[in-house]
Amino acid sequence: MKGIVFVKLNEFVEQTWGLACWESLLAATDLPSGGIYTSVMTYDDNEIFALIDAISKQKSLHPFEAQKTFGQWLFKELYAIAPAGVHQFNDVFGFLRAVQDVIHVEVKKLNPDVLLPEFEFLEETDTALTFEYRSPRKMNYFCEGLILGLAEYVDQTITVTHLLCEHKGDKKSVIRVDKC
Amino acid sequence: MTSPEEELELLRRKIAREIKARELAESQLERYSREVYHTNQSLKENLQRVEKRSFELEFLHNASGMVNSDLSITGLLKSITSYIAKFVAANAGGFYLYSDLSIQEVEEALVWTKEEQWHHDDKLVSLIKAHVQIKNTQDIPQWIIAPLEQPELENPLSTWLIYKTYTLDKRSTVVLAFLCGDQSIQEETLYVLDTIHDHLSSGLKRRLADKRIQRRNKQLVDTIATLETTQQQLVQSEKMASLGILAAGVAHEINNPIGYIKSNLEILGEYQVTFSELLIEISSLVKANTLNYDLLQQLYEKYDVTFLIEDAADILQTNIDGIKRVSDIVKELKTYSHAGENIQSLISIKDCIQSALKVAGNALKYLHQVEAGLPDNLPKIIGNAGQLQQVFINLFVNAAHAMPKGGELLIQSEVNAEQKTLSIFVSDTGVGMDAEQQKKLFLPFYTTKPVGQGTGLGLSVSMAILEAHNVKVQVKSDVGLGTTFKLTFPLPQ
Repeated sequence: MKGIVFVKLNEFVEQTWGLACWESLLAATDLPSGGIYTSVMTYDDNEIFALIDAISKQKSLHPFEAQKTFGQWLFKELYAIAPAGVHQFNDVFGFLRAVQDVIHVEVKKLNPDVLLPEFEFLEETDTALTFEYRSPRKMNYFCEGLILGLAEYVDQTITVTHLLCEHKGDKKSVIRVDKC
Repeated sequence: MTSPEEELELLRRKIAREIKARELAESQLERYSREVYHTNQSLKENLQRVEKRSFELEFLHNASGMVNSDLSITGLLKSITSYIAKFVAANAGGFYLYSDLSIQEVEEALVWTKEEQWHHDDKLVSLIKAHVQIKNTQDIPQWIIAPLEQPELENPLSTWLIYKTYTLDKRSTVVLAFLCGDQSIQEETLYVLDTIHDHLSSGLKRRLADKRIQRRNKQLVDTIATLETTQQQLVQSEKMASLGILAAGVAHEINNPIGYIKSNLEILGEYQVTFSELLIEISSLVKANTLNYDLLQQLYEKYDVTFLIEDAADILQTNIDGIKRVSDIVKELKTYSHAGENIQSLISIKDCIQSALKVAGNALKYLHQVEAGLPDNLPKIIGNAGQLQQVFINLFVNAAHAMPKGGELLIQSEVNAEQKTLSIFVSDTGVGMDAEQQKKLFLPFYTTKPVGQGTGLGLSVSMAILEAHNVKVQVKSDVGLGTTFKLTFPLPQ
């Protein structure tokens, strides 16, 4: 996982629960990096899962809810540092469709070896978009949070439904986004 | 709530982590910088390699274009030599023929230099040739690199001579040679030059082969022209020979009337003397005034005047007929002599056959019966009357020769309205031909006639004439029974 996500998680935890919370998370997880993160490096995926697990335990949140909340907060942070081409979208569906062709291309320019999720669009109407989320990290709830952050940013009201979920025994994860 | 001390401790730890993170980030950035530097270096090297490859490919492409062009052998050698010289950054280059043949296209003593391009330079050529170690037509499979013995004296810029042979044929080799400085010879460059070896070699051979083919072609054209002339002469000879054969008959035809015209004129001369004597006698009687009717009758009876007048009239008519006969024969011969003119027009085949019969008549008139039952309303054909007359004369004379002891010559016709053709059958009751003879029938110089009688060209010339008239010829012959020629003429649309 790219260092920027850890750096931003640190910021999120400190902003939300204070400096002491991050300290206690580091103490509880005993991570190989020692919690020393920089955005130019890549860290073991297990560290993010360990930190999210610790958050959910300490703050009595379901891990999916923790991922979702962090994702929702993270969107505007990532959007602020994204290259100029990404800022031309004002619609959730338009942005989601452009994720692979525009956003991920820009990410790859900076990190050629980065592992990114893939979307396969299954169905689309004016008000609903259904796609399969494919990633070995299976962070479909983190993805939900990012979509919710996106909706906030473009000022659209949406609901996100996990039609299929690998965490619930399905063979794949399918997400539907409805505009309200 | 945390106490200020605890807060300070947390901040201290956070700062420590931030400092450590910054160090890690800086070290990571240094790694990135080094990677970027190495990547850039690698890219530059790749770019240089690609540019070099591109230059080499351009060289091969252009060299190949030169080989495939219409350039002459010298043009190709000049172009390729100067191009290779530029490619290997040579100071000078040239091509030199080693052959016991002189190939006019390859100029000697020419050399290419960067400064003067192609020019004559005996000294430089001698220098190059002095270092080329080659026996005539020996093929060297790779480029030879030879050091110049006294480089600074001989050519201040060049220290090496590189050269390669291209075998043209068993007796000729062309050497491409270049004077180079120390830096310009690279093994890789020589590999690239090797790549064009086979193509250039075959290009040179092809040009030599083309030259040979052109020479052969010219020889063939000359031979064909000679053959055409000979053929024309042969046709003329055949005509003369046919005329010779006909001459005897024609002479006889003409001699006969001329003979009786001559004796008739002699008789008329005698009559003229008789008339003169009669007139003298009448004149003297008139002068003496003694002439009367009875006396005149007595004189008429004495000189047989009635007979003389009647006979003279007969003789004159016979002579007029005889002269007309001679005139007719001469007219037919005139048609025959114009047979060479190849103008076709709408003609009557019946007239043509009758004219031919008149000319060839002498050969048939004593021992043979001629049955030419052609109707008057036969459709006309497009053709050359003189040439067709020659064909029929030939057929009739041949028929006569096939029936030395006499026989029948039958000429018949058949019109096929559906196929729009007119067929003429010329049949004899002569000796006939076997299958072998029939096969050779139309071959030039083939004859069954005794020496002196035939040239063997008659039917082959006739065949050529008939082919020019789009006439289909069929022959049916049985040994001992006779031969029938069927000539089928297309009728005009």
